[in-house]
Amino acid sequence: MSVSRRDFLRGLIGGLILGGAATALGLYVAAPEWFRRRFVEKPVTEVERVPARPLKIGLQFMTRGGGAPWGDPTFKGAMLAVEEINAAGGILGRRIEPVIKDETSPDETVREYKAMIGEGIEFYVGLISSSNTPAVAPVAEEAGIISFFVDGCTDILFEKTVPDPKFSFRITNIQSADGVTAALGAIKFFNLMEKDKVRIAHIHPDYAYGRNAHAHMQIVFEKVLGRDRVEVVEEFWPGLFRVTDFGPFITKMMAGRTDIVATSLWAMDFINFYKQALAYGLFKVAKVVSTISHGIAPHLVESDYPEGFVAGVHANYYFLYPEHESYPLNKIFVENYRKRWGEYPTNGSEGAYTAVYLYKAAVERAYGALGRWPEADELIKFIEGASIYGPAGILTIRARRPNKHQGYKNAIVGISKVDPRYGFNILANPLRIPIERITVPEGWEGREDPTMAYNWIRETWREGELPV
Amino acid sequence: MSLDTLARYILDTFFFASLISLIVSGLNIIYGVMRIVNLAHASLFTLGAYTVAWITANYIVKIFGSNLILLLVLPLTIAVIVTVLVSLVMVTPLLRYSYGKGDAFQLIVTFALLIIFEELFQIVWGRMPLAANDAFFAMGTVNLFGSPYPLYKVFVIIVAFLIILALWLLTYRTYLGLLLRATSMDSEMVQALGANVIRLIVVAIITASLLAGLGGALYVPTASVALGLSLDVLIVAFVGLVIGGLGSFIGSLIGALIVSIFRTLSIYFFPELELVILFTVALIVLIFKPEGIGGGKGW
Repeated sequence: MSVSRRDFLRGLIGGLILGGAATALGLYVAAPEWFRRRFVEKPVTEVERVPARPLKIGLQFMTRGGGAPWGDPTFKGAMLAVEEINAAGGILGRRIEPVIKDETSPDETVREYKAMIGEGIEFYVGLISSSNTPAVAPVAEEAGIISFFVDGCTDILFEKTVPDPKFSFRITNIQSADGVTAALGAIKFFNLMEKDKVRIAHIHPDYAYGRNAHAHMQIVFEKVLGRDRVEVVEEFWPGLFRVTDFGPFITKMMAGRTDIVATSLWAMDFINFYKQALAYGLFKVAKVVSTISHGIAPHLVESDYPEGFVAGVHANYYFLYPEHESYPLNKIFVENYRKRWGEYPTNGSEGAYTAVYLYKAAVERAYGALGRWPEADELIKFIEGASIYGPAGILTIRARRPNKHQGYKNAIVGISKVDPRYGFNILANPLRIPIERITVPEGWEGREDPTMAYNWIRETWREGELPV
Repeated sequence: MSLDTLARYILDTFFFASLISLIVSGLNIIYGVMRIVNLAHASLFTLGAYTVAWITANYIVKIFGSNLILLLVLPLTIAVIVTVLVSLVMVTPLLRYSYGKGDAFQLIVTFALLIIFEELFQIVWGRMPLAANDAFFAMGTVNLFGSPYPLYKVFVIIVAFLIILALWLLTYRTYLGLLLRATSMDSEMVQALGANVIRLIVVAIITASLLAGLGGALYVPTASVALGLSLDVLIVAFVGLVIGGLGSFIGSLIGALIVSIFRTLSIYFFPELELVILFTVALIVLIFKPEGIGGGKGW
């Protein structure tokens, strides 16, 4: 068979094409990894799957003025987590870079929050005050910034202001639990079930938190003790950090022969109040039940604070509990915090610390599922319904209404006691209350006014019975 | 109301009035001589408070223990000296510079000074509130018709009364006081008659600073001091100033007393409306007697 020149050329070209295709296919299948990455596949690297730029976190707390005894330790908790994570290589290799602003009045706080967005924060951990969370949350929702509110735990936030949140979450137990826990503590520790009559004077700061604490303490007293056994002698509403001389209030409490002073005064207000009450001799005639006395930096509740009072920590956490021997996570946290800041952590420190780690855990889980750094709206799925072990124990973020995106952990309250090991007044005899016993369950549909928890207690608790 | 409760109320009213009168009279002295409403005046009150809290906790208690006389006298004296010195360095030059430059200019300058003071307090004493209640507790209580009352508050009332009395003597019984009063009525005429108005201005500022510093120093053992105190104090002092009348010595005292009476009464009857009631009283005075109860008469 003769082969013409044309046929030869045709065969050669066809062979080259086929051979080339086969070679290419062979190379594609069998090429070394470096060759494939360089020439065959579109080069996708770790750098692109996880952005190379640092991860900016917005931190915003009341760290100056009257709220500082609360806000400063909270800020320190967040910073400890940031430093620990950075020391261990960041989140998926991204270093966390804090952008720090002050929390003040709602207007100013929102302005600073927006300024942080301008500075490129990707997530946010902040807020102490219940006046501020309802102001900031709608902005967070609009801007699409994952925002963990450490406190500012008013029930109103997720019941009315943003009932179906996407980007806002809250770490500290819901506020109604605070008043409920304190009142249950008073009933148990002061044996109020055995008393014929209880004379109560209320003194609370005149804003969302004080009103909430008052309402929930009062509904629990009335429900459990019975309305006719509870007599409210006085109700005082000093403006938050506005009153420095509590003399006239104390005088009136003493004149009214008060048995129990129920209070949610906090930070500087609480310190001023108790110092002055000491000087007036109020504590010789009345006992105190406080939602929040031991929530400031522990050493600030000095040894002159009387023993045997109901010591509140916002129903959240005191550094001695869960006991260090049985729960090393808390021991390590307290030791590291002390090493870093030279003092003991507060429930705010614990909340902020846990919030940063919750974000880290969610990002890592999302990365495992998506294979890349998640967008903010993708991340939500990994936070909703998630649980994390923090120093205080397990924290769960609710995924459904009511109070969607609210964090829940078991509540705690105790008795004030001077401990020579520490040299200050501590929370002793901790009473742990399972959170589901004192808060509105998922799916419950009821009135919101003043809060769902209030109506839930009124409608579902049995009169004259302790629920815990 | 039982007798002991009534007695406590009266004493609490005078205690609060004592502190307010120290601030308001200082504001009035400066206004009288310079026609400047010095918004930074409240910062000197806070400075006095910070100095006492810091010195007591860090030095006095550590060195002298709880010696009552030293606890009362030493921090107070140091605080007054510090306040006057700081005022000479920071406040006097600015007030002299603002002298005669118009209300808007003076308000901005003195408010800026208040903010500068806040920042300085933060740099020097940090963000946390300071407290040193040692003197408050060391003095103990006095038995008031069967129930205890803190003796320290009585001490504050007495000291403030003596200081106000001294101020009155200075103003109405000395040549310097005569010049101060004359300047508050017609400074140009006083200058034309050969008095050194600049020197009078400095004397007025020193006196006012001393009163403010003393006020803060007396106040802090009963409570604590934190950033932001200046603004709170300023608001109450202003209500007192408006009620009493700008530039009137007697007005300062009347204003302070009225503020204090209404505050105590509102706490007794309508605790939620404390500030509302104070501002309402100020508003009523402004409508019916715009120059204030003691105002319009100079010193």
